[in-house]
Parts: sequence; structure tokens; C-alpha cells
Amino acid sequence: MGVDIGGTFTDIVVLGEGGPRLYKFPSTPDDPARGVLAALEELIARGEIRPGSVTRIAHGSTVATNALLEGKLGKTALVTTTGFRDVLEIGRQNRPALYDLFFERVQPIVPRELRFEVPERVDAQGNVIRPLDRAAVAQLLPELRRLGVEAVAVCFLFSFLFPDHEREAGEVLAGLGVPLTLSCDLLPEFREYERTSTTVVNAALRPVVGSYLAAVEEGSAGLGLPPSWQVMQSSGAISHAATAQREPARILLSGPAAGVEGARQIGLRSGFSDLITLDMGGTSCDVALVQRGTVGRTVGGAVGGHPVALPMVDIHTIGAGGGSLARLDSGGALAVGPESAGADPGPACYGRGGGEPTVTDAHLVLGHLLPQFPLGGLPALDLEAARTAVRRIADPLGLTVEEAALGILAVADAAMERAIRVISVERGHDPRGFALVAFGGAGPLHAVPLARRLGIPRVLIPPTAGVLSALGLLLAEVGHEASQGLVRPLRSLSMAELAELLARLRERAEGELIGHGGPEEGLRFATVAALRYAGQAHELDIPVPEGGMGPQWVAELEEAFHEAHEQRYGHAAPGEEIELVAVRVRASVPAPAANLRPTFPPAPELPATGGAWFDRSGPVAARLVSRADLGPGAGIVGPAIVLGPDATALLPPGSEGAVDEHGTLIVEVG
Amino acid sequence: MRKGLDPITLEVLRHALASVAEEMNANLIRSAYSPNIKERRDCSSALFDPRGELVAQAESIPVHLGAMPFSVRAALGRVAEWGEGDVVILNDPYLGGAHLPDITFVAPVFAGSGLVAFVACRAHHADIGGPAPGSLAPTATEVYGEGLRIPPVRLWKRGELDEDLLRLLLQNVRTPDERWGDLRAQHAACRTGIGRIRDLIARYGVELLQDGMAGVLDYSERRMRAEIRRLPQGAAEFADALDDDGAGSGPIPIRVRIEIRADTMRVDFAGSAPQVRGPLNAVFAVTASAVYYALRAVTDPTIPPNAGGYRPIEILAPEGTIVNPRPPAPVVGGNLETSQRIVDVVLGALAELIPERVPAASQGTMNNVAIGGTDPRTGRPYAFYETIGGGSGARPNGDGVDGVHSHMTNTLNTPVEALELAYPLRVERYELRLGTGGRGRLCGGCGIRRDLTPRGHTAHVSLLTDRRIGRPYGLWGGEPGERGENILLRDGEEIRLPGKTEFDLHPGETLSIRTPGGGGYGPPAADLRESPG
Repeated sequence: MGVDIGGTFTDIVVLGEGGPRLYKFPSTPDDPARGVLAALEELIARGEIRPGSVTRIAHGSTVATNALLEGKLGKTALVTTTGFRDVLEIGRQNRPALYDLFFERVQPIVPRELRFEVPERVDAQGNVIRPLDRAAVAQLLPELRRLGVEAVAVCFLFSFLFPDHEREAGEVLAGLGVPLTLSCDLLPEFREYERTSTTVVNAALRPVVGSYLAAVEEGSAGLGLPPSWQVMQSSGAISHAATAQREPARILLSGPAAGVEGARQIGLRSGFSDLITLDMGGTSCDVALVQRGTVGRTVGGAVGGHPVALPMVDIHTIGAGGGSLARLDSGGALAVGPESAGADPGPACYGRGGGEPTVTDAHLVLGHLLPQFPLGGLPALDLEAARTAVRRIADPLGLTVEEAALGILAVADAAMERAIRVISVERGHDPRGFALVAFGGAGPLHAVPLARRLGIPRVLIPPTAGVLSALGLLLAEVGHEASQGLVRPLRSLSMAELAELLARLRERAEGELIGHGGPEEGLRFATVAALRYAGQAHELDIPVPEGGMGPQWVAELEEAFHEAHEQRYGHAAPGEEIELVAVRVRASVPAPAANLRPTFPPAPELPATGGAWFDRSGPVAARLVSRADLGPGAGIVGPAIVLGPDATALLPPGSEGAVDEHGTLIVEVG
Repeated sequence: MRKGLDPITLEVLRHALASVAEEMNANLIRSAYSPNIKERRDCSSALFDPRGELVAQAESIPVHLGAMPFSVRAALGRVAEWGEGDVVILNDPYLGGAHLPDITFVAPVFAGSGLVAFVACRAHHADIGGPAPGSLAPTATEVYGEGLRIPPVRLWKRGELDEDLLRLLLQNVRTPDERWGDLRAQHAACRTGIGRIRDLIARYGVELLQDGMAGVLDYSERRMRAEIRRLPQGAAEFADALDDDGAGSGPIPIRVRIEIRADTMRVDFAGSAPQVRGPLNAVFAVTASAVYYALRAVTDPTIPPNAGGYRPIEILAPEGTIVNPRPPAPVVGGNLETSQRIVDVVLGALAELIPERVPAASQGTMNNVAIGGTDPRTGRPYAFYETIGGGSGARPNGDGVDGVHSHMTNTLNTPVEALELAYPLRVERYELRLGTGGRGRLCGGCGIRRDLTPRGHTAHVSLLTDRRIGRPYGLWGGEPGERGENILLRDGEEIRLPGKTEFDLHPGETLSIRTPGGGGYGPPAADLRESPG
């Protein structure tokens, strides 16, 4: 069972022999555990699931993200090297907006009065130049108790090369009896600000995420469901709840990562390994890139302005969604987003008091959505309300309502095209070689026109487009990463040193993976070396060849690095010294194979065609098809509208779709 | 509005044109060789119409904001007939440049036989010759002493590289391979821009694209005029000063008078100091960048930066002054330090007119620190350059920000661990200077203290810093921020250093850079209590 909590809906996918079954429930943001448990109880009461037959529950949650964004964190203290307690506050000394005189830099999670310095210093070679003053650490205990801290973070300079001082300090601080995060355990890599920030985020999340996961697991056990849950990490791999409780900084992008992972799995099953994923919901649009079957990941991410240097799916987000508001600005241009009507009041056609036109209203006006078939259990959509709202744009411009609605969509598509160019063209990838996987409630409405703008030949629409994140939870591998920063010339490491390092990292990653009773079948390792030319400030992740470490090993790695540098930056420098910045090992076990063709609820009665606008020339008769009626092998020629319980797909004239054996609708955009 | 260009097409084309400049710049950053472009992103890219009007621009630091139109105009003045595949390069500060390390490329875009646009990009090169590695000599007294000066010349003619010219150029710089790599990256960025414009022509046609370029200019102009019209009518004056030119000048005043009339604005620098002997002179392009930055920041930063938005703004800078010098005055610090003071005086004058939108002065310097020597571990020479943040000024609605880069720059610091791994230097301390923000109802941000020690060798240090004598002003009764200090720690003694200087730093000695705090806003609470009523 996959359980994905979003801001508005909680999506549940039950994956059994008959394929996935999809359910949507309202979320309860004030107490997320309550909503999840109520939904599970209802499914049991309705006989949709038998508690005893559920083998695992994989969870995607916004609990950590919301706690961080809203600042609802545990009271946290930070202990640093003398002279450096302000590193957390100075950051990289840049400001977040170039031209905003009223910019606010993100407030440090730990204010100055909770940041403490202790005498100790290690140099860039890992040598101690000033031993740790244990007594100074011990002297902090009464003060920390008096202040009532709920968590402690420790980050010393160069602890990734010499962890002993942090460990020693940790032994002393353990006396406090609150969760403790050492930077050398969580992220033993260089760059003190990013490491400190990640350590502090983790420490401050522990009290919050810990109690939340304890509550859902306890409730789950009470319902006769599995007592141990799994949680999606930002990297796209599933972890045990116990790992998430100790290292909650790893689950900040839980939901979006599950969506990208779901899209990747759907694409691979249908035979496509180069993908651009487009997740468009109510308020925003997330795009990501999958290349040769691998999701683009980064360790340069930030959440709410706080750097978190742990692996996360590299997602680019813009403020364009179904709820994005359309307005005429002071210069006389039509702007769409980033302001959004959100879930409440929502678009004008929801009839909840929203009066300004949104992207969803434009679709309804143009006949792309049918008033009597709303998504996710909403009441019927109000076409007149949508027309009245869009008239606010149409009238001042002397356009018809339909022309204005087409304009709103053209502007929204132009903004999304720019977002996709950022993650593809600007990083050296030509989108024409990719397939676009569209999901989220609004993704399949925009995918084909957007693909045409970018020269993308093919669009993939998964059978479960509206709940793909929940499905992704069940398809993702269970995995854990362990890393070690070095920053040394690659050639200066002996084979023995490298072998020892790899063995140690494998052991750590594997221990975390199977230590909590996880599966061992199919266990595999993937190792990357973060390399750069000496003097560069950014490194490239190069996959390390598997197998024996012969004398060719380093040469092969170097060769792969030069090639990757050439591909990404257009040039390489084979004569220059290469530095090994870090090694990261990922241990993983794939998810069991599953039938992904969903069982749809009975299809509603639909008229054969509906009038839909695709350009200014007027409405055309578009075929109306229920997703439930599109089995494997079915074909459909645009103009057509495919209505599912969780998403609506739009096939403009000239496009043509066919459903493959996995239930995925593959559209040639024409 | 132009015929055929409705608000929808306008917005769609605006996205398309903006993404041309963004893609050029992303490609430049991606394919550059040197860390200064790749990591610090000291570069920008832009798109111009056939008359040389700036249509769209992508930049990551504001000092590039208004500077490129002058380059394109200079190139247009020098090249009578453009051919397909031509690429003009230039860096002469007196012919469209800013300071010598900034090299600009300008290339035409043809559709059929017609010239439809220009693309341009500018990048800060790590060395362009001259007496000091990095070409940021704090002691030059003429532009001739600052490095190689390139007027607008064609490096590519009809797609053919002029190898003779290239050899001449590379012969005059310290790291020729890296320079050639960065020049190729700029050439690639231009080709990306040309290709993207051709794609847009294929999609929309030449005529609509040209209407779109004109429409985007008019759009920014309308929004800027609407913004100015909302400001109160009237005029205000303000003056502030740089500490000195490093060549014995004493304080260098900069004066401005700003007049807002209907939907136009006039910015007049009459009364500013004559040009100086040291390298603090800001060429007109730099002055314009600083003015555009300040105006963009106090109006609406979402107005697309282009020539249309600048139409309602008139800038007057008398020739022969610190804000518009005559050759051969040296200029390298004009870009780095004087640009900050120009922002301070423009904002100071605007504070009179629109107090609710203008903060007190920020640190007003970039604190340029260059350290070089021979690494005792490898025997190889090294050169390290950084700028250091400080306090930002208190705002009408809140305190200033501590330890941050302000106004004309926004580059990242070098992490302590990265610095110590790469260079034979140790950071002894990196912390906020508590209490250095100007007191006030709202307080200025604090400066930074950063202490550096060479390990096992004697290092050569160049400092180009300001606000070591003058202090960042407060507003409306707020106190000024604390001045910065450059201190040499030797045998437990603190020796004060000048703001602009060069010296040797020996093992066991520590250079302690202490950056200024920001000014305060409104009278401090204590003063309020003391005042009657």
C-alpha cells in the first residue's frame, strides 16, 4: 500500500494481483497522522483492504517539509569550533534576491544564543592542531538543560577527515538525553556551511518527525496493519521509518521524489529511458530529467532556504498550476501565476467564492473539462462562473471569452516551456530526444501542446496520472546511501586505501538497509565518485565501474570523468590533476514486480463527442473517452479528451495515442 | 501598442526573448574554463535590436546591468558593414567597456540578407595583463598600467577566426590557455543566441519577432513610467564620499541631484569630484549600471531590464569627474568600489522623496582581498581573490541583515574548508562583528571579521577596500554603521592598515579584515525616551 499525503489530498494506492486500486481522501494538515489513520480505517470498514493481507506500507509525507517551512521545529542547540559559530548565519554571504532591498535572509534555525563554541581545531590534512577541550563541552550541559533544548547538533571544521572530536563531544552531550546529530555521521563531506546547515536541519526535525512516525506506526498496528512503515527519501529511494526518524533531513522531498520515481518506472516499462517528467498540480509545476534510466540527483539542494546537502531528486519548480491566476499587469501584458487560487477558494468554477480566472477555468471554458465530471470527488464544475471570471480578461482586451481562455493557456505553456528548457537545454540536453511523462491533476491537459513547443515527439500518460506519487512509493527501490568526503588528488590514494574505503561505505549502507529487517534479496551496490579538476569549485558524480579493482580502475575512472566533463561543459583537460572530493555508495533492493494496469471504477456514461476549442478557429467535435475504456491496444485519434477519475488528458487535432500493454497512453504529438 | 501584438502574444514573446538571453548565459557559464565565470558567475548575456537597443538581458550580479548597451553602441560605431559570422570583441573602458578584465562579445543575427538582431555577452576574465596577477592593481595611475586594452575589433570575420589578432591578445595575458577557453565559451554563447533567434524566426516569422522586440521595449517603458508616476514629484540632493584613491587623494565626494517630473526621472552628478589619480574612476557605463540598479530596486524589480525601461531616465555625469573620467585615468576599482558609493548617493537622494522604500546605507564596499605567493607544499605559485560581505542598512520595516553582500555584487564566499584545502592559508576566525550595525529604531546589519594567516611562507597581499574612514550613513536619526578596519596582528599587537594597500604578510602574522556595519533607521529607542513627550 502506498500512502502519499499532499497539501489537499491524501492519495492511497493499493497494489494487488488485480493491479493498483486508487483512493483519494482529504488531508488534515493540522494533524496529518489523524487524516491518514482515518482514511485507513475507512478503507478497512468499506472492505477495500483486508488488514492481514497488507504486506508493506510505503509512505510519502510532507510532515518534515511543512515543519521546516513553518518553523515548527524542536528547540535546537549547535556546538561548533571556536571562532566559527556564525558560519550558520553568514552562510555563503550572498542574498537571495538581487534587486529586493527588503530581502530577508532565511533566519538561522539555531539563533546565536543557542550556538556554542568549544576549543578544538583540525587542519585540512586531518591533523589535530588543537585538541578538544572535553571539560568545555561538559560545562555546556547545565546551560543546555536550563535552556530546555530538545535536540543538539555538532559540527566541527574538517570533521569529515577527523571525526574523533565530534564523537568525543557527542559522548559527553549524550548525557542530556535529547536526540543528537553529529555532522560526521550524517554528512561526512566538505564545505562547512552546507554541512552545518544539513546537520542543524536534521537535529531540529528529529523531535517532530519522530513523534509523527511513532503515531502513524502505532495507529497502523492498532488497525491490524503492518507496525513498521517505510518512508520515501528525497533521493527517490525508500527507507525504513527508523532511518527516517534518525535522519529526517533525508525525507524533505518525499512526495515530489515519489512522483519522479513513479514516472521513471512507467517510462522504463514502456521502453523509454530518456524522460522529462512534468508534474502539474493546483499551485505549481515540477519538472525533472531522467537520462538513460537514471533520475538526475543533486547534493546542492535547499528547502525553505536551508541548504540540505544530501542526495535529492533534481526538481525545478515554477508557479504554474491549475489554480494559477490570470491577470492583466500594469504594462498591459497577460500574466499567469505565480499567484494561485490554491485549493481554497480554488478556481472560479469550484463555486467556493473564487472570482478571478485561473488555468482550470480556461480549460472548462474551452470544453477541455466537462462540468459534470470533476476530479477527486469535487461537486460539479460551474461553467458560468468560469466564463464570468475569464470575461474579466476578455472584456478589456476586446476578445471573446474563448479567445481569452486560449490566451491564458498559451501564456501558462510559455512559462512551462521556459522551465523545461532550464532543466534540459541549459544543462546541455536536447529535449527532442526525450519523452515527456505527464502527471498530476493538470499535467496531461498541457503535455501535448507543451511537447510541440519543445519539439518533443512523444508524450506518456500513465494510467494513474493523478496519483502517480502514491504509485511511485510502491515501485521505488529500498535504498540507503553512505558517503565520505576526501578532497585529495585521485592518484594519491593507494589501491588498498580505496578498497578499504569502499568496503567501509558498503558496510555502512548495507547495515542501514537491512539492519531494520529489510529484504536482502537482490541487494546491489552503486558507487559514485565526486570528481573535479584541481582548482574547480564544483564536482561531477562519476559512476564507479563495478567489479575488481585492477590497475586499470583509476585510469577508467579518469577517462569517464574527462568524457563526462566534455559532455556537460563542452571541453576536457586530460593533462590536469583530478581530485576525489567524495565517494558515495548506495545499497538498494528493487521493489517486487507488479501489475500496474489499474482497476478503474465503473466508467460514467459519456456523450460521444463534445465541442472543444484548440485554436481561434472555433470549436471542433472532440471524441470523449473514459480512461476505463482504454485497455491495452486501444488507439485514439485527436481531437479527443480522455477522462479519468484522477486526471484528464487532452489530445489536440493532429495527435494520436495508443495504449501499450502496461496501460500507459503513448501520444505521438504530430 | 503595436498593431498585431496583443497582450497574449506580447507575454508569450517576452518569455521567449528572455529565455534567449538566459540560455546564452547558462551556456557561457557551463562551457567557461575559469572559476571566475563558472563558479562566481561574473558574466552576463543579452539580446539587442538592430539599432542596438537592449531587448533582454540575463545577469547574476547587478554591476553588469546597464553596461552592455554601451559596448554594442561602440561596436556599431566602429563596424560599418556587418557580415554573417562576424564577432566583435572589446574591453576598452573608454569604448563601451567597464574595466579591462571584462571582455564583451557582440555578434549580428541575420535572417536572409536582413540584420534582425545583435547578441552580446560579457565575462570577467581572471587576467588581462598589467603589473599584478588578476589585473586588479590597486596602484595603477593610468589605464595603460592596468592591462591590455582592446578597442572594438573583429576576432571572427565571416566565421573565420583572425589568428594573428588572437596571438597578439594571448601574448599579453598570464594564463593564455584559460583565456582562449573562456573566449571560446563566449563565442559558443553567441552562437547559442543566434541559433535560438533563428528558431524563433522559424516559429513566429521575422516581422512578428521584430514587433515582439519593439513590444517588449514599450512594455518595460510603460511599466517604468507607471512606477515613476506613482512617486512624489520633486527634487532631492545627496552627497557622500569614497575614503581615498590609494594614491594620496583624501576623500572623494560624489554628489547627485534627482528630479522626478511626471513619469520621468533625471539623475545629475554635477558637483562630483574630478577624476582621481588612483584606479577609483568609474566610467559612464559603470555609473549607469549603478543608477539602473538603484532605480530598479526602489521601483519594481520584475520590470524586464531593457532599453525601454531606461527611456524615462536621464543620467547626466560631467566629463572629467570620478563618475565619467577622461582617458587615460585608471578605472579598475570604479567597477568594484565606486559603483557602490554611486548606489549610496542615489538611494540617499531617493530616501528624501520616498522614505518608505529606501534603506540606510549598506557596507558600501566589496572588501577586495587578493593574496598570492608560492605554495610551500608544491613550490607552485598561487593566487587567491575574494570579496567579503558586511552589514546591510536598516530598512523602514526591519533591521538590516548581518554579514551579507549588498547592492552591486552578490558572489559566494570561499568556504573555510575549501580555502584551506586549496591554499597555504588558515582561517583563524570567521564571525559577525556584533554591535557594528548603526543603532536606530531599526538597527543596521553587522559586519564580518575574517582572520587569515599564511602557513609556512610569506604571502603578498593587495587590499582594495573602502569605508575605512567614512561610515555608512543612517537615515532619519539612525546612527551610521561602524567603519571597517584592516588590521595586521603581529606579536599580539594590532597594526592598522590603509584601505588600499599592498604588503608582505609573514608566517606568524595574521591579516584581520573587519568589514563595515550597515546604517540604522530612525532614532534609537534610548534617544526617544530622552526626548520630551
